[in-house]
Amino acid sequence: MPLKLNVGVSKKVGLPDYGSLGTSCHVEVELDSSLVFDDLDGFHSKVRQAYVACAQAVNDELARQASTTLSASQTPTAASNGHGATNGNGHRNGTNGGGASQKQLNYANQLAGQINGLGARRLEALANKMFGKPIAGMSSLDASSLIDTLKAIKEGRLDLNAALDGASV
Amino acid sequence: MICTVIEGNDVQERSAAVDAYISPSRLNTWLKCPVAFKLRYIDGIRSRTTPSLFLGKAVHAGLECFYRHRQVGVSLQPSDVTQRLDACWEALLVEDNMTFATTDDENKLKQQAAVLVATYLDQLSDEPDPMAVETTLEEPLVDPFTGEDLGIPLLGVVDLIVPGDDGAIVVDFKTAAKSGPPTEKVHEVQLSAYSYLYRATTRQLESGLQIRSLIKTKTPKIEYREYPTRTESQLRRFFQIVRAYLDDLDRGRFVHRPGFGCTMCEFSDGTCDDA
Repeated sequence: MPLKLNVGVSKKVGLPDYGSLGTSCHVEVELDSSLVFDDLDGFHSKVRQAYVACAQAVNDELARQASTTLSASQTPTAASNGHGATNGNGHRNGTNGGGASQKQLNYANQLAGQINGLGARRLEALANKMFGKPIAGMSSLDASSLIDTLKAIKEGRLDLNAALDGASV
Repeated sequence: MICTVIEGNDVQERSAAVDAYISPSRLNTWLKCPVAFKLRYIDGIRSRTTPSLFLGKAVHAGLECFYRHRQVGVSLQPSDVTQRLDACWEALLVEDNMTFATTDDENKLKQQAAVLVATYLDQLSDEPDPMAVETTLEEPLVDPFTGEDLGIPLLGVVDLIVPGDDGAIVVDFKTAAKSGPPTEKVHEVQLSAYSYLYRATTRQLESGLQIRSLIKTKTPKIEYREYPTRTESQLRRFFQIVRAYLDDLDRGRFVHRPGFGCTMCEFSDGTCDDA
């Protein structure tokens, strides 16, 4: 019976002018399950190899994006409104409100999945109600706010129907 | 990610590792007295929550409840907020391991929290729906003037962000025993930290910052203090403070700072003498 190994590495680095750059790499591989029982060293070696591969991919991508981004935006100042760009699988913190990161979106979806009666469609409706835009158009701050709201719903501090319908409670 | 969300762990749960992040309260404690900082954040000595601190927490919970609903278009009346505060009271007590000498003391404090929140809501002008409520922001600390990455994130829980005429206003709530002068320096670290977090998250400048104080006088009062967009020199100073803090941390150097602050310090019982 195959053994599924999920390995992922995420890394975020800071950039001048309030920016940041993040990349992540996740892989899922199948291993022979006997490794766990018969060859623990071999198993750990496979895990290490997977991590090394992910880390290498993440570092390469960060280096590639950093060189592009840094050459595009020089001379940071406290008073400037920065401009960002999104490239590849990384996330540049920027673009007039910085788009929501994949990690934020994943977490929002994960939370939504834990709330009875809130499917993907209603999550979209909630985002629309809160920010007047779809999930795909949310800024980083919007996503953070949506996550806070989902946590409040999950913990019973905010009624789901009230959140969706805006009805008085 | 752009605005790192603390997934599943709140700030308190992560308080042990001083190298995990910098927060305005850590910086302020260190500025007040490095020994007090060491005792609290490195040695992990926590004193009991005082009724005054717990009141602040309860008031925050009430305001969060109001604004969280407001953000989804639901306007709660003060009585609704009181009812909800009542419902979550036990949970708040458990969270802080809070106990009162008598039931009467507890009821009085609960009542005081309800009155403070109701006074605030009664005086609240018509402001637009919030952009964010009690939101945790975490960003890498990168000096905007030099580009130097300090290798540690800044983390802050911002009470409220509301739209203003020329951009967002970052708001912090405080409960206080009495009115205070609008001395900006007292709040400088916190204001600069929030400004940095807002800018790093949104890539936009805040239009201003506010501290809304709920004064627990016999007849409660609400004070709004407005502070302009952080200046370059304020942010430079903030990064100087952060560097000095990190230097102390790196060297394990925590020097006593005896003074007026000792009268309000949780370690003034002599705990600090042995540190």
